[in-house]
Amino acid sequence: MDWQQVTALAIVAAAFLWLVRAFLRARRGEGGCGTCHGCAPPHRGTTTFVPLEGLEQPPKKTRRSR
Amino acid sequence: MSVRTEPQAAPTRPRLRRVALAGNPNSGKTTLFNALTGLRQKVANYPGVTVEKKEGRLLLGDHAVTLIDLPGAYSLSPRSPDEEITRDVLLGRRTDTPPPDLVVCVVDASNLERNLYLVTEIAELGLPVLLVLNLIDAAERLGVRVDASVLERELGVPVVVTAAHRKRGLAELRRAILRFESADTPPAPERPLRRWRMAPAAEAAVAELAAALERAGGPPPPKAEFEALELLASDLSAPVSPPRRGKGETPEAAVRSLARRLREELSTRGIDPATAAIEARYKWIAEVCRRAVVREALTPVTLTDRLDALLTHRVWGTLTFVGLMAVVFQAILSWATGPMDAIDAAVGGLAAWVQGRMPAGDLRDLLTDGVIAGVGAVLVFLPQILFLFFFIGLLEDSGYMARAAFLTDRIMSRVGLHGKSFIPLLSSFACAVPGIMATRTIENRKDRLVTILIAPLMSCSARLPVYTLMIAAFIPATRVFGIFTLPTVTLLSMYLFGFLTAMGVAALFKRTLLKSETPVFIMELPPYRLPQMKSVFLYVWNATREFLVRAGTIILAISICIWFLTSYPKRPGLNPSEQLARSFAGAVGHALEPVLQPLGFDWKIGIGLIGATAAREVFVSTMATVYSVAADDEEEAAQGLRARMRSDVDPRTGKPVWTPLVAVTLMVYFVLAMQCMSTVAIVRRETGGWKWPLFQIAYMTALAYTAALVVYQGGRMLGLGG
Repeated sequence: MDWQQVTALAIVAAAFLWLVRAFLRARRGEGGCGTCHGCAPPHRGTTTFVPLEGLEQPPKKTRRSR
Repeated sequence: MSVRTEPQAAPTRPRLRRVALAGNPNSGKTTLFNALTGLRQKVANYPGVTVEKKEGRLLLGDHAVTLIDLPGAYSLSPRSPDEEITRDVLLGRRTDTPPPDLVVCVVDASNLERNLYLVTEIAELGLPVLLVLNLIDAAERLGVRVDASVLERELGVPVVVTAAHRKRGLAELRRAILRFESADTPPAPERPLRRWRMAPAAEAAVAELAAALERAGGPPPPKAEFEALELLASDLSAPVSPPRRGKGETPEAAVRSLARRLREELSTRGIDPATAAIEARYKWIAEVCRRAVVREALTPVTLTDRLDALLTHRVWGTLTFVGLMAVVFQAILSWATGPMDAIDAAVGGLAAWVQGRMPAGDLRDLLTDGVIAGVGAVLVFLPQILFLFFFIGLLEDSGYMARAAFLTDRIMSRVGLHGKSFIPLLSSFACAVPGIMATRTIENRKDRLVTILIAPLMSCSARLPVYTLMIAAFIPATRVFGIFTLPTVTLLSMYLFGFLTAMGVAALFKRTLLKSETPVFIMELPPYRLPQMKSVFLYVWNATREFLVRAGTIILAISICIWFLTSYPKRPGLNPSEQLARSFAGAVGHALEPVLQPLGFDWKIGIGLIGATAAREVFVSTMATVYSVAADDEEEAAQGLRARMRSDVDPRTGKPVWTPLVAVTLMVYFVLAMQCMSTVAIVRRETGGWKWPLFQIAYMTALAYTAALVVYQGGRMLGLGG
């Protein structure tokens, strides 16, 4: 492997890791890649998001006794 | 029932920490917010622009306070989720936002009577209130003169006169807010909180209910009276504030049953409990306005009236709307050509420069075929995006958007929605993310969900690069109807196709999955005004910044990964085309080919479609990388993407991979397919789970595939090529 190949693969690895990080941040609601409001955090700059109550509430967890 | 009075001013008033801006939609709250904080939140000339609360810092002398811009509301009895935010913040029902120390009520001076309804409700909660008579210049033009001192006396709150968009009265407003800081100069005289009266029986019922609420550990007096009025006005679904103390007999149920009994009693006495308070309040407000407002002459027929006669006309209005859209698309296609060619040349020049300066190798290939070709292919479309946002900004700021909503109400009501759903759909032509957030103004839960589900069918700005790439490469620039060109008509058709499909899908959902009654459409038509260039350019600037950040982050990262997937594993001895075919991406593309072949798409287009799953414009950058990597010689590499696509031939059949029919099929697929992670994320957040976004992905993908199949196979049967 020459120096160009090593550098190129390092850049590819960095880009891939950045995408993985953006995906994980989006899943945690921390702002993903930071280019839109889609999964922005509660405090993004000066805008405070007020998430509305979900139209569909997650099913309530119930415990059944036998 | 006794009329309550505000408690004596405390000897030491705490310093202001939180100031809220409240008022009717389109009264200029966000303009005032921007002027006071120096921020650049979006403003436009139609109701419902602000659908979330926004916070900024307001400097007052030696310290700063938090200024909260609340969504517009007509009253504290919310009809939509955005109005709920306003009510809950003011009533202190939100755990994340303490109640404000001062409410600056912004009213449209030319429409005082309706605007004062909310003001009186807020004042009656016992919150310190400062009234801002905004848009005073517009009122003066209409011959409306408001005597602020009379208003101050009648309402018992200080009044400041402003024209926020002209920066008039802002210094006075700051001084008035500062006066609320001072303990020795109370901003308002001691005043009864509620100055209007209902029939004695209704007043007695309110007093009894308020007392019951207090006994049950509900809110303190002013708010208890507000909630009593709310309960009596029948909204038994309205939440009652939780008891302050933990103990007590099921207070909510007891209060509700009392409310029910009192309502019945009032009904038997011939008093309608649902309207008694509203009528009494409006009667009192009308009396206040009679004293405070002088109309210099009969309201003249304004320019807005004359324009509306044409622009909201069933036939002329619709023709104007379609004509306006055609002009916009013609302008986007023709005006942007020069700057696009310049960016294209710069990108090509940069690639050639890198090619000439660096020795051959993977890093050079990554830079030229991945980074420069990929990101550059998307950057080329920046001028078109700018023009699109410029025209949307002009339409929004002039007040035309509300007319477009009015015009489409007829079509919308046929499918079971109303014109209010059109505003989020119009916003979605720029981007579906703010469009989906704008659905918060829709009162009905099922209508809101239907609008969310169809919003991504509007052609957003990310589709524009795909459409224009296909159109520029494969649609001849012949004239249509003498004035427009075939590319313009094709582009307009794609936007129209998305809209009409959305209407069909909405009709289907409203009749099956999300059945509900068609609501009545009530929307305020704001007066026309000359667009404020600052607002428009701010809108364009925000879009530019977002586009560049996207190009420099997500598109760059994906382009680099696509380069790797199209270049590895390395197989020495193969020519670039064969190398691409046997790369990781080539393998995936070939695996997809059987599914895509009926649509006329080859494996290279399959690679592009996979890239476009993250964001639609990535299709363009992916195709640029794919064709750069596959270039067999430097001469081919120097050609633009369009030329390479046009000359691409399928080695198995010897026929061109791309034809006009394939280009149209691909555009149809892009109109209907859900290829945007941001939209998926916002739908998940707004609907509170994964059920609806997954349903949306499934139905849109199925729809896109079926429509593309019909177009391609139908086109072939008609002998249109392929």
